[in-house]
Amino acid sequence: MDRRNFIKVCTASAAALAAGVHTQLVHSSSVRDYTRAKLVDADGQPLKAASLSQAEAYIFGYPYAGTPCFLISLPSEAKAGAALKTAEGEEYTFAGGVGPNKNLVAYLAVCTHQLAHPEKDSSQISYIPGNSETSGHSATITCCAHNSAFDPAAGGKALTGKSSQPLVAVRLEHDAASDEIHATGMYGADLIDEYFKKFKGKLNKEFGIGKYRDEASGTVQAVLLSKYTAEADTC
Amino acid sequence: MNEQFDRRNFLKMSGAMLAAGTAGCATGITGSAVAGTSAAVMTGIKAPIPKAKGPRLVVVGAGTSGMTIAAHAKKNYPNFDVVVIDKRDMYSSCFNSNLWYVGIINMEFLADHSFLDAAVNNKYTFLNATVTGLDRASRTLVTSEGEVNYDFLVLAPGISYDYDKIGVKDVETMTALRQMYPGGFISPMEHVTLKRKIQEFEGGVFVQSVPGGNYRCLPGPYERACLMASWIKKNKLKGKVVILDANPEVTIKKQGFHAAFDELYKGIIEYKPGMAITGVDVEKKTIKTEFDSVQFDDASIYANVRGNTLIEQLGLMAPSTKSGQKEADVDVRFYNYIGDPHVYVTGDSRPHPYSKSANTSNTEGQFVAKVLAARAQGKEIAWESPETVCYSMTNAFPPEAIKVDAKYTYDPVKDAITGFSPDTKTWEVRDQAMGRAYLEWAQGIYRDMFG
Repeated sequence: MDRRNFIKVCTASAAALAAGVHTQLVHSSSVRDYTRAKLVDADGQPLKAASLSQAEAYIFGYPYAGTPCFLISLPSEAKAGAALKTAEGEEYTFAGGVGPNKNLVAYLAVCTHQLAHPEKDSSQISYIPGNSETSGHSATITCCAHNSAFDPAAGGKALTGKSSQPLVAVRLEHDAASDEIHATGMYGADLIDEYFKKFKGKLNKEFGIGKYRDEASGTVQAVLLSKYTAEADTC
Repeated sequence: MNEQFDRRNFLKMSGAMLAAGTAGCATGITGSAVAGTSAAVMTGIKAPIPKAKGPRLVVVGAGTSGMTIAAHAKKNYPNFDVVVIDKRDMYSSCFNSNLWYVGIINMEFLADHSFLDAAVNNKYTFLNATVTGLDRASRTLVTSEGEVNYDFLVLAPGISYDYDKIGVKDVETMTALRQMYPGGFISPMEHVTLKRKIQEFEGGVFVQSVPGGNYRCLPGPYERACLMASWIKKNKLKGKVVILDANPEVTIKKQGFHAAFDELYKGIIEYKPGMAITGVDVEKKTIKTEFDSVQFDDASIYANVRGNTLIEQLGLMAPSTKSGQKEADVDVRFYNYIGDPHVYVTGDSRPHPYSKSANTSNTEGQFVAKVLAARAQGKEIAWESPETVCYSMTNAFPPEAIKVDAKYTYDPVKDAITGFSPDTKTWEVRDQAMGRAYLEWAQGIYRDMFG
């Protein structure tokens, strides 16, 4: 599938509703539709909304092997409706959380300031459930490299720092019957080309030549950030 | 730990900068004999670059300021035709270089960044040339490779040393100091020499001096002293680092640095505040101060800092009432040379009391790119403060750092930068997490500059 295969949101939403699942309704002129992938744990078992940890974020590679995303179970509902804007000026609206408590959200774990992201040896970008000195709030995503902070309950909106745009959101789908979670697309800024361009050498080394571009399909493993990186730094 | 910066501290610092800078700066050229023209020899030979396809923005100086402006110019205004000019043909960053001396990072970390890639990634032309003159009347920059016409010109040449202010007035001693005991805050050659000095140090007294005024990288000399002390400690050498500080106190993150001096380097670092250098006897390896003289085995003598000599040569220097450090005479908020909306001076040749550091230049450069984009379209934008997020490694084994995050306040009545913003904070309890963040901080800036 061509990842630049943009689809109109109303089409996607109608299809999701017909299937009897809760998909985030993304009020944007376009979203980027990717292969639907089920989030599973390290043993390959489906992650269930009811049993997710709220102590830290999970990391999963979506829509490609080399693009790390956060899955976060927030302490309360992430209400839809936050008005957001990319650095290019595209306006869009946060679709809100999914799951029984509408508290599950996901974002590309790449700081929109200068692209810091979780690495195996350490991560400067983390979700902090408690109070963060950088953001001055609880339940925020902070990037310690240049003191940026984002609000995961409001579409990844930038709170402090020099970032000019929100974190890129992952569109999630929750199946009420199975309690399973799927990722189905991305919305907000399209950072992936820039991210790949700037980290190509490193990603080739880490994943094998060109393997970082392998598209997620079927199932995608999501692990706690503390299992993914040696040092999950907070600030 | 947070230490709130207050206005009094800021004024103390900026006041000290002005006072320290005023004494030796009476001889600068503040304008040119011919209006808008420096001592350029116009040849009519054009530099070998493509014809401009839009308003031409020429950026001189491929350091943090210039590279940031060049990287962001077309993103803000795609019609710009951007040319970056630098006399160097290879980049190596000054920021982070202290970490290289003791092996926290390698040379690749500092220098594996190509001007050619940056030009391709950010859709501009790189010209490897030395600027020799400027004719503002015809908007012509003269370089060693020929003339370049501009619609907008940004000069970001950085700093030069002002040895006169440490009592070194003869060119022989000045040359000896530059070559034998470099300050290490300008060129990669200095970094290579300093690394050799530190790695070859077998004991004795190593002097690290700290100048007065607004010098580049306020915490840099203290950080270097800490890292060298860490090296001495690890290798169990019979040596010490003497910090000769022209200032009455550590100029920034003082709690964090004093904690390192006391807790990690007792008997290895000797901190001597209020010791402005008044002369150096190279033969006898003696540094003179107003009250004392210090014998050294090896040293890094960091002379006072001034705007790059290019600013003076091009006739853009501010009068001594505006800058005690031979910096450029530019608009406080928008950086254009006073009276000329086509010429800008940014980065460490600016006269502002900003911290002369990488993150300041990076964030300032992003703003200046927006100013230029707006003005190219006949618009104006509101002033934005630069931000100084700055780490200092106070321990090498293991790497542990402290940090400051500062913004600045503009007073429209005085038309001046009057202090740190109220949300300025410091983190002065060293830890390894900030040591790791330091490295990503630098990588982020490199990515922003080189694309």
